[in-house]
Parts: sequence; structure tokens; C-alpha cells
Amino acid sequence: MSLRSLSCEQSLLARCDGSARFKHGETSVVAAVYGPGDVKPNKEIINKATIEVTFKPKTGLPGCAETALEKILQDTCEAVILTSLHPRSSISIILQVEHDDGSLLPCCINACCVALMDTGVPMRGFVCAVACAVQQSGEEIIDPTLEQEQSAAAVLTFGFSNESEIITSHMIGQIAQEKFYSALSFASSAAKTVSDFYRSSAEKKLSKELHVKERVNEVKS
Amino acid sequence: MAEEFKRIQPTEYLRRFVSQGVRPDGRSLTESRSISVNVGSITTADGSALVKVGNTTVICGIKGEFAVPGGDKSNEGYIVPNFELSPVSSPHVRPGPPSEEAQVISHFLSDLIKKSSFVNVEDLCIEAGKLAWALYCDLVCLDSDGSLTDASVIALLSALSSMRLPRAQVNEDTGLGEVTDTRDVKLQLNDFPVATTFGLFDGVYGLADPSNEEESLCGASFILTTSDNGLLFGCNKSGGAALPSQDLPSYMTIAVNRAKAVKSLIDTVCRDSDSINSIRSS
Repeated sequence: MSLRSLSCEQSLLARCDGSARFKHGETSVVAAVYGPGDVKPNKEIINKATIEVTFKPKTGLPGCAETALEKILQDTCEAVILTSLHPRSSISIILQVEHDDGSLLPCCINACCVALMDTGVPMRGFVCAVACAVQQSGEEIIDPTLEQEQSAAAVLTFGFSNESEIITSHMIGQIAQEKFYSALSFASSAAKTVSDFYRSSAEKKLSKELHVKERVNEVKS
Repeated sequence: MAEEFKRIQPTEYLRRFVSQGVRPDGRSLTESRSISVNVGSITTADGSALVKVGNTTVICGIKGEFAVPGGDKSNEGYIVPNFELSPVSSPHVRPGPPSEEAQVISHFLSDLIKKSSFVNVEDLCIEAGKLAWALYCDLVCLDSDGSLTDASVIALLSALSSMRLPRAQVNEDTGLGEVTDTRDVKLQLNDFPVATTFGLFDGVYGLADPSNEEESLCGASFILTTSDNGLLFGCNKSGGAALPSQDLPSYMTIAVNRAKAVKSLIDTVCRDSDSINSIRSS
């Protein structure tokens, strides 16, 4: 049981402090980060940074569903960002859905983490998120497509820390308790693939930067 | 002395209790607050319920209106929940459009209705493609003292269970819907999913049904939605400290036991309400 092909692009937007496009198969989300920067006085926290998340769906006006998603993402990012290093500042994360083919919430969480890494915001680790759909037949599918999600008995999303602990969890539908534990263990092993992917995309980005630096030094000398 | 200590060091104050397996209000870590349910108090609504979980108070009113079933779902009605926090509930609530907290709970209730099968929206269809019931469920929190989601779900379940709609049909001549005076159409609930909020204190101690003070001091909280027969309808945790997954089975047991207690409470209340109504009408 495996995830769809993951892909990630960093620093794709020129005006933001950091950005990333994360794809799970066809599902594609762009995350942009501005920060640490100014914060409105009514939102200021004296000993921590204020994390603000704006989620833009592909079509339509944002409603309750989008606000609920923003809250999940804000809480998840707050769990890993070292907010006490930037008191009275704000870190704004904006997400834009380019295409939703299932597993939207994990894709958003992963896009946020990579965009924050691109920005250079200090973090204590990553959240690697993965969704698991449990079909009516009881079969578990990791990283479901939109069609698989709509026909499933339940869709569970988990965000794991570097130590494979549950930071975030979200579930819709209904299943027996035993199915929950099996879905959790499948998701936990699949999250390791996401974690390895973060590492390899970070290495690629840094080796590119290193390569560019070396070329610049060569040209100078 | 204790009062001053609580003010200056609220976290340490709570820690002193919790490390001994008890909470400041005398409950054990796994004990929920007492629940009281009153149905039918809003006589102008088709169904209503007033629920108190400890001090947390939520009232739910359901109004049924006629609607035309949508294109590909021609045999389904609608259930539309809307939760709001009244400014009387807490000094942090300002008058105005629903806050983020209220929207999250509205969405939670909407997902519970749409994505699980605890209620059949097909039962709300009067005539396929022409007429169906749309149930507008308005929930208002009158006193916010923690675990708002729990109280909202219990209020919604109680109101839906005790709701009595009039019989309706499509008038063949006018094509419009019309109702009779008898109110005996019930909505059958397949399951009673009950939400139980747990606060995670110091990343280790799980406090069942935290009050507002306890919630503010917990590093994380999560909501388990279970029914009395052990089915899981939700496991929602939004960031914060990590949840040790080996503790989940014990939290699930607490949640299922609470669901059993809530179901029997709602059943009793609805039965009593029915018998009072039948005495009144005879």
C-alpha cells in the first residue's frame, strides 16, 4: 500500500518570504509564507508569534468548511514552529488549492511545512500528514483520490511528528474501533515516506544552492 | 491562600491536583460532568432541546421548512445545523458574525450529519423530486464552560429525537406542499454519536470533559465521537502536544461509556415528553 507520487517545488513565488507547491498525485496546493513580520495590535501575543492561516478554495467563497480547515492548519503549524523566538510578530500562511483530487488536508499540511522550511522559520520538527480512507468493504486505502474518498465509509487524516507521534487527527464517517487502529498504523508507516520525501527535497534544494554558489565563486576567481 | 496561588500560578495549581488523580472540582480525571436535558421547551419550534453539561449550556431549536430536493439527490431532504455563541456565554464573545470557534463547531455538526449515516436524509423526502423537509437546526450557546462540542452534539441529538413534524403531502391541484394538524412524524436515528472532549495536560494526563479553565491550561485537546455500540464517528485533534497513541483505547472506553449514558438519558427524556404530550392532547 503506497502513496501516489509526491512532488514539491520551493521558492516559486517572488514576493513572499517562502513558498512551496506540494502535490499528492493530481492534488496540488500552493502555500506562501510571509514572516516573521508585523502583527495587528489586537492579534499581538506578547511572548509568542501569531500564526495566521488563510485558505483559498479552488472555486467559490470561503465558508465554514474553509474556516475549520484554517483552524486545523493554524494549530498544526503552531505545534511545530518555535513561536517564542518571535514574540509580537506574525507568521502568515496563505494556501491556494490548484486542484483537489482527494487527500486535500494532508496535502495542505505538507505544503505548509515545506513552505515554512523554505522561509527559514525556526521549527522543532515537521508534521508529515497522510490520509487513509476505509471503504465500505473494510479495505484501507492510503492517500485516497477524490472518488475513493466520496465512496468511503470513513476518511481519516493524521499528522505525525518526527517521533511518529500524533500531532493532528481528523476523521469523517463511521467505522468500528479496530479499523481505526489499523488505519492509524498504515498511516504511520506511510508518513515515513513523506518524511523521507521532505529530506530528499531539502537536500535537492540545498545542493542546487551550493552548486550555484560554487559556480559564482568559480566565475569570480 | 489557595485562591491567591490559583491566580498567580494557575498551571501549577492544576498540576498539584491532577498529579494526585483528581481535579479542583472534585472529579477524577476520567469523570464527566453531570448532564441534564430538557426537550420541547420552545413551543414554536418543531423540535427543541436545552442541554446542560456542568455549567455549559446549549439550546437547540429545529424548524422544518419545505424545500425542493436538489438535482441528483431527488429523494433526500436537508438538515442544516448552525451554531453560534451568544455574548452572554462568555466575556470573550463579541456580538457579530459567528467567530472562528462557532464556525468550527457548525462545520463539525454538518460533517457529522452529512458524512456519517446516523440519520437518513431520505426519510425527510415527502415526494421525490418535488418536495422534501429542510430542517434548520439553530444551536445557541448560553454559557460557555468548556467542551462546547459535546453539549452541542447532545442538544442536536435530543432535539432531533424529540422533534415531531406534521404530516405533509403535495397538493395535486396547486402543486404546493400542505400540512395536516397532527404532529406524529418522527425522525428515526440509526445511531447516537456522542462527542467527548479530552484535554491533554502536561502531554500525559487526559482530562475527560474539561471545563473552560482546564481547557485553557491544557496543551492540547481532542474529541472522540462514539456511539453506544462502540462505533467510532470521529477522532479530531488540532495540533498542540502529541497524543500518546497507546492511551487511545482507554479514552475510547470512557467515550463509549459516556455515549451509553447519554443515549439512555435522551431515550428516557423523549419517552417522558411523549407521554406528557399524549396526556395533554387526550
